[in-house]
Amino acid sequence: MTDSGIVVVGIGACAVARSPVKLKTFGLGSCVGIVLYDRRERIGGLVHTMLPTIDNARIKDNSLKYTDSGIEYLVNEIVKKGSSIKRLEAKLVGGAKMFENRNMNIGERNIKSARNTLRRLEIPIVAEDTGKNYGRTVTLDTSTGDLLIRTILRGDKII
Amino acid sequence: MEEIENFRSLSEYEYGALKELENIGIGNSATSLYKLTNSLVCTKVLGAKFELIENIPRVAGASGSPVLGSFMYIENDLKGCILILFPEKSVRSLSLIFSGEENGKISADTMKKSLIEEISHILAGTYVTALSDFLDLNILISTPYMVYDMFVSILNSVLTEMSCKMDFALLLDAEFLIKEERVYGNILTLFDPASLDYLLRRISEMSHQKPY
Repeated sequence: MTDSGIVVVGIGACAVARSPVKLKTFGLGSCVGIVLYDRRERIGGLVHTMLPTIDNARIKDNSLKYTDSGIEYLVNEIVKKGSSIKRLEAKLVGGAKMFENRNMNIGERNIKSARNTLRRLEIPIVAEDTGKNYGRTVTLDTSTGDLLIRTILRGDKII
Repeated sequence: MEEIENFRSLSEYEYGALKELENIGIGNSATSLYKLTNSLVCTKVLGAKFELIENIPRVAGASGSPVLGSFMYIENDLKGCILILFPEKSVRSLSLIFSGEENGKISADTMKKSLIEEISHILAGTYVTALSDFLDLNILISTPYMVYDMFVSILNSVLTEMSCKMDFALLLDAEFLIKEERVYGNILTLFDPASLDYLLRRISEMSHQKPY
């Protein structure tokens, strides 16, 4: 934590907070950041996952490392804090392909896995900024649901 | 939890030995950098850590600052990767030393990128060769992949790729500095758990050898 109003979410970790706390995660590369937000209660959650699915995992201790199980975990946490799955909306960020000449598409598979999991849970994806070849730092403002995306070369934007 | 056996805590002696290995690697890299730039290069070993992959960005102190990073695979007897990072200012200084120019944006300048890629490859090559000579192992590095982005994004992407195959990794962290030229760089080396075992076995064999 750098500031009392900002909670920093590490890799393979998640956080849930109420307005006006901000949730922030640094450097999404091929990892993906999934934001869930409840507009009525003003509760937001953010998870930063690394790999597409827990099915292939050797150690299943940290479900937050995997996109599919990470989303499910975050949904449970946010519902526990007083939201309802019916009111949640999702935003997806990340899943980039950082090394262009490398033939790994983990980013793409992460995004696919996130979309499938959210569809299964019937949570609508209202916005996304995914793919391409650069890292992103995101900050969720739980008082508005706005997601600020910062990049090095491509400027900042809000989705 | 059968996989927990993969985890091990390192003894003081083992940490010391790994740090010393790193010192040998970075020392040799510094020598080649000295030959390239003809200025005094200071080095510092920041530490050796065996950690869960998701904890490594925190351990390495990865920040959101922009760096030019080259990433190479380590192959053969040891498996892992080596990451060499230069902040923007150092890229400018290096480019001034080698090509006499320093203006222009890094992102658009292929010449500058190519230069740093070459320097990184030389540094990583010397690092790995020093280790392979010392340990009598056969170690190679791949061609470099280069990207200009946030330190933490680059590290996360490399770790993600590694985490497909392993859950723990050994991190060796070192830095070098050329004071008068204001060049600063970071060398991160990551090894898989099998390579860590291999390294420690090799170290213990060596320490039990009779002196000549």
